[in-house]
Amino acid sequence: MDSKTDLLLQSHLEGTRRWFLGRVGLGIGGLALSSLVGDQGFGQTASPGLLSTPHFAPRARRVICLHMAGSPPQQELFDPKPLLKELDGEPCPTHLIDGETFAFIKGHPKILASPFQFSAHGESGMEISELLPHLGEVADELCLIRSMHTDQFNHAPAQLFIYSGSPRFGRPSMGSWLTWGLGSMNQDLPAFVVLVSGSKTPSAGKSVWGSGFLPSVHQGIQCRTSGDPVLYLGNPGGINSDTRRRTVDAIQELDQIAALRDGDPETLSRIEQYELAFRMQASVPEVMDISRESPKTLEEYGAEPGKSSFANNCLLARRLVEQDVRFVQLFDWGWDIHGTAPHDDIMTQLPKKCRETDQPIAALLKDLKQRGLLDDTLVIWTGEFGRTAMNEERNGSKFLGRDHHPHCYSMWMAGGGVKKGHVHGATDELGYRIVKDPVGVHDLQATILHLMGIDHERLTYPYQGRDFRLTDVSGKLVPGILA
Amino acid sequence: MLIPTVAGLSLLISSSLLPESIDTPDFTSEVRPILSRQCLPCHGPDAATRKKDLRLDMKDQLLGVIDAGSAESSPLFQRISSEDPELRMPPPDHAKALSNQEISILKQWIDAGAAWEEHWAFIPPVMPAAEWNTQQHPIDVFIEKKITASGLSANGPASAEVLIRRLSLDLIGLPPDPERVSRFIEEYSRDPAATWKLLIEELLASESFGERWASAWLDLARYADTKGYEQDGMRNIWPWRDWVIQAFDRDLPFDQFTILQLAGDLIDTPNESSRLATAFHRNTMTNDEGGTQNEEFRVAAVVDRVNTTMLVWQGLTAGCAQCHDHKYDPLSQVEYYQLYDFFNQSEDADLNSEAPLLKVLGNAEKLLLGDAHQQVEKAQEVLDQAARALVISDPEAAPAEAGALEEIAFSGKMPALCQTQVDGKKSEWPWVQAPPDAPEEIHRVIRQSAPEGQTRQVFFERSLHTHVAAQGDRYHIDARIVEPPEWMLLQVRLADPTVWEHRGYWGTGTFAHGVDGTESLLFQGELPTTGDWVHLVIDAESIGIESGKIVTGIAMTQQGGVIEWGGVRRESSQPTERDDLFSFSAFVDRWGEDPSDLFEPRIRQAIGAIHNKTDDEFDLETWWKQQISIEGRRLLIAQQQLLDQAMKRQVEVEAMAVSVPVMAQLATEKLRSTHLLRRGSYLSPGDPVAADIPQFLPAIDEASARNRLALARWLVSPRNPLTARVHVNRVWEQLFGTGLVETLEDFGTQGALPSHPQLLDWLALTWQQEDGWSHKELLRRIVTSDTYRRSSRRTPLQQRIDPDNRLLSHATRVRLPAELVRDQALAIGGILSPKKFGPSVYPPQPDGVWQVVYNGSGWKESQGEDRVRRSLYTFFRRTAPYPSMLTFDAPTRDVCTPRRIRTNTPLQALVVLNDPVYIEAAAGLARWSLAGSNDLTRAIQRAFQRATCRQATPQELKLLMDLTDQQKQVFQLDPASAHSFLESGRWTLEESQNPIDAATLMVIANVLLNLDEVLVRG
Repeated sequence: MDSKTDLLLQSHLEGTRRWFLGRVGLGIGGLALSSLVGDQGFGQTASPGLLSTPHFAPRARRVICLHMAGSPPQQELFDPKPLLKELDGEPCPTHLIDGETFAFIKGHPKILASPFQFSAHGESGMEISELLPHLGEVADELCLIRSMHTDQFNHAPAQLFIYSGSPRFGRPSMGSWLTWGLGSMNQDLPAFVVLVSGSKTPSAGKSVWGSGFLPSVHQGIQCRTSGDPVLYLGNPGGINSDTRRRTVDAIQELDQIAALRDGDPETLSRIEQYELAFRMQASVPEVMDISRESPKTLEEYGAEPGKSSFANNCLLARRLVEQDVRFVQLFDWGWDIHGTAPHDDIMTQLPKKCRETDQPIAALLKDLKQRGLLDDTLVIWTGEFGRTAMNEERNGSKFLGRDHHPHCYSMWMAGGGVKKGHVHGATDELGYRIVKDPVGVHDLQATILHLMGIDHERLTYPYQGRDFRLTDVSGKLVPGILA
Repeated sequence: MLIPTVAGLSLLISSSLLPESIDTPDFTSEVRPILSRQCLPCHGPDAATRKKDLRLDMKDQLLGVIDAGSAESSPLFQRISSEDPELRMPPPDHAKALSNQEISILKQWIDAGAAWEEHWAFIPPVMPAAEWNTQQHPIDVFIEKKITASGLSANGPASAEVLIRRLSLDLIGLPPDPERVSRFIEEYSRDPAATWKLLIEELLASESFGERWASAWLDLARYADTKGYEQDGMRNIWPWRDWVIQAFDRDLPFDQFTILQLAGDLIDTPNESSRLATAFHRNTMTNDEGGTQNEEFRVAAVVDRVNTTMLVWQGLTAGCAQCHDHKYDPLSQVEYYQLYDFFNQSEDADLNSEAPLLKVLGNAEKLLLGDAHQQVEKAQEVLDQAARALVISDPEAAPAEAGALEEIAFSGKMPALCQTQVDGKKSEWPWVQAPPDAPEEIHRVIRQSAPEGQTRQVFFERSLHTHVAAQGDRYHIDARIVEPPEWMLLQVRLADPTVWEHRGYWGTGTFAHGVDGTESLLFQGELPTTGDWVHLVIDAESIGIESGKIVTGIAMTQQGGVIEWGGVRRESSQPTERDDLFSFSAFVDRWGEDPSDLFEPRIRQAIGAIHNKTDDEFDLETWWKQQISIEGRRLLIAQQQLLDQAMKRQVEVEAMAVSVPVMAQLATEKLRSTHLLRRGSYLSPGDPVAADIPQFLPAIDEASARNRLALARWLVSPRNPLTARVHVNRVWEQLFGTGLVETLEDFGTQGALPSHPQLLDWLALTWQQEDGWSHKELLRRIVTSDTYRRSSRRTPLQQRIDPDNRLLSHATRVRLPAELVRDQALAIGGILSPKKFGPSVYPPQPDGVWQVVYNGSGWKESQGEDRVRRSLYTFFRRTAPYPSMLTFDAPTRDVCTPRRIRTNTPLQALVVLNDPVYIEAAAGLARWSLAGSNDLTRAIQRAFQRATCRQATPQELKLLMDLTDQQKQVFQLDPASAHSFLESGRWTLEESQNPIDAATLMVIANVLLNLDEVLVRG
């Protein structure tokens, strides 16, 4: 850039910044300053986000969220219920069905015991299913919540509820709120990255990482393991990096002429965005290239370069947080264990999904720990709701399966700021309702924001006449899980 | 640096711009925002959270805690300024104290007499006094007044190049082509005013006009081609999108546009078009997921209709009141469900079928149907003519009677549609006059000679007439052997797969076809004697012609020798019904229905009599047998077949109708009882409510029924203070980048104040009263102002004083909306398809974008021109919208989106740099620029001009030439890259074109399409 352009840029930026900062003094709350002054795309560190300083000292700086789309059955994985064994095959007590609405169960369903064994792990003695042997090895890192509950019992609304605080479409997702509030920590990579495995996107589609009414720059960027890792990242055939550099130079030089002529600061911003785009063309493929990992690491994760798998995504998640990507969201499809056929039953599909995910998740936790990243990275594992204590038996199916169940489910967190080797809350003997320390979806969100240094009631955005926030109008911090 | 566009911001700007007096704070712009923000959460419209039953949003109650003229003695001021935590408002444990500045504003306002004003948007607009002369445009007078007051000065008009591009993009969403630009510049230099007006009229009348304005309406209507939610299945609602395009093209006045979309099923004379219009509110989502409660999602759809209607027409955020009284606007939860009742009476119920549905044809299919109608009429006309010409004496054409012989090969009469072949070659029939000694019935014969050892055949590919074989049929052959052949043979063809495999022969030797001794080649006897006429007879069944088979052809074959074949006749043991041609009853069936145009009155009457089974003296059958020639009948039948085809096509086209979900009112006895839903939950109904309008808005006509139609009429009645303001504001935003009220989505008390309230009112009123709600008139009114035509160049002073250009001292540069970014690139590349209307299309998108749970549908890339249609035709899937649209800030269309927030991100750069669509456009631009010449400099100038509508400056040209030189060298060293890049752009060069130059020029075109100046409307 020549000095004249530089001067123009300076004067515009300064003028605009001063103007806004002057207004801030007036005490206008909730204004999205980041999108006005500092937020020039996710590559900037100079003005990180709305909150120049967090509300509290953050315990976690990054989040990896592992979502098992379809919702795994808690009875098979994290919440052992011996009473189910005794009642297996019996018609369930009527209080389980009185006034209840089910997605698929009809008539009077029968109790279904888990066919899998649980055993105590680690010093904490946390009971974990035989389906998750690798996770058992890191039980002492986990903060298991057996008392999650939700309002929603269909996939799309339930997923939206967890990630946007509302079961309806149109609200910003958690990753968007966080990056909007906290900004990005990396010059060359998106602050909010999404990785999908199981060959399907989640039920609620891209809205679970959408930016809603927040500026679209805060939406999650889906990085893909085949084709361009980010859409349109690759140059067209015949254009190599040198040629792209020359063309971007030419675009920028012509835009500078236009900026001087038209005096529009937005033109200067565009010049920067083209620069970032060019840098991403190198940095994104690099971070997405797991073949740079040692054979040992690959083996620990069960990752194979070039494949599309949950294991690869776990390894990518570590590579991304290592580069200080703020929020990494993994979706793995295939956990909707209804038991209509072997592809969605407890005996075939569930063990298969566990095999695909158990080792990589344990490897991820160990790897983060070994690299000193687990202390300030929050890892979250969850589905969108629980599953019934009863066998679904849809249309008389002989395969074992469980229907959707909103009243209780299990999830766990690990790392930045949560208790280790801890079990929070409990369900009744049938694993049907919560009997101790219930945690609602908004409570979980409030707690995650808290761990990131944010007061969930104070991260708000004015839209259509009211101040919106991730936790809508409720949400209470769950102190019991904080380290 | 983003242009600030976030809600609430304009409140700041406005408050710095609006106050007319320095000393007395303005209630609307300064006092109310403080009360609203600080006090109303507990002392506002929401009864549930209201403390001490005090409402500070209501005049009487507010003034009740104020001593007008004395802040010190006003309880309100005492409380907000108190140091005592027990007294201070807001309570210290609840919120921070008011700032000193806020307290000071309230004090000054009370001291000055506490003048109250209703919220501006709920007061009907008032026509401002005319402060302009006939030479002035009122818009300019309103705008310039404020510019002058701010100490800024307004820019002069933009250059002609900028103006034509601006107006084209704004009015039709496409850039002007270079020839039009040149002509405009030339004419504009001579007579700017007249030339500008001409251009406006040309664009308003353009075929592309409706597409551009429909595109903006689709966000409001949350239009998508899928149902949403998890399954996100397909939905046929694109005919409604085409309805909107046509409505804008035809300039349907906005009041009608409103009534038809909200209540086209309830108007006095609903028709297909008005019912189709109601699909507006069927763009709500439908949940197909197994096990969902239909009622839950029906309620969600009704709620969405209330919220959307209030947003689109009233600029109000009613949605808040779904769960509780509105916190800021005077809308109670009861009133919300009164509005809800208007929409709660339609048939739809979140069914997977999406019923009720309306079957409609797309516009293209309507044209096809018109064509089909024409074809039918034409065929009918030709048929009529043929029928009139067909009465030809033809006494020989008699039907078969039992025992009689009928000609099935030839008798000297050539059937009209017969074809003949001899030895596989078409040739003239070797007819000769029948010799005197021939049997009586024989008039002409075919004399066929074959060289020794060779075969000759006379084929009647179609028998003289097609007939159905009956039991006991025999074939009679008359022939005379002139020179003996080795053998002679009759072959019969059936209409089934055995075709010709039915033969009887006389003589010795073998034929190349058939199996000797079977029905495919059956010995009939020794050769007859030479020289005499002989009569040979074959039993039809012996060669496999079973009863019921349809005989379609006859052949007479010989090896060697010379034979005079005299014909083949069929002897049937019983009279037979034959096909249409020979069946009298078939004739009557076919022509009896409506013989009026076909025959002379006497015959018409007779046909009618037969058909109606009444006796008539006239013997129609005799007439038919004797008077209508076989040839004539054939013509008639052939024409009838054409007519049948045309009618079949008509039916086919009619079957292309798609079923569009529409609104339909429940029958009176089925009307739902509407209840307030506690916390918005359909499982918690509260008190019953009946349709009505919230109190703070003008009342609905008492006399009218309380249905959607009444609501729609109320929205566009002159009494409604909001509808016109909200819509002119929306149009203003499209033309200036920011609305006069920046928060398009909120005209309530939390929304931004208008930057130019009088201008807004003037526009709203003139639009209703003088322009008759005409969208085109409104546009004409705005774009004829000087304000619209100003240059967009911004001075540092303007930037400092008014960085958002709310004063409009210059034109605002606006990044094009997502659809236009792509459409413009296709247009500049010369590859944009002009095809309008029809089902949504699937332009190329990267693999893997569509991976939707439980829905196997894939993205089947469109072929041909459907790849490059305008973006509003791109298939819109709610869970996976077209990625580049999202990147450029298009919403996902789950709910009504009144305003897009523009961003500027690296992902946008990646799209325009690398998306194959833009590479193809670059190739198109390069190809056009070369235009048969090899002069690269000239081509670059042409490309630059086409992309920007202006000439490149020497500095810009040099920059591009430098890049050209460098890039040429790169491609020369690596020609494979050049070819590969051309391939990326799907550019197949002509032989005379140099690939290095072409690829280099494509690189330049790629640069041009990415320029800020191109992506932005200047």
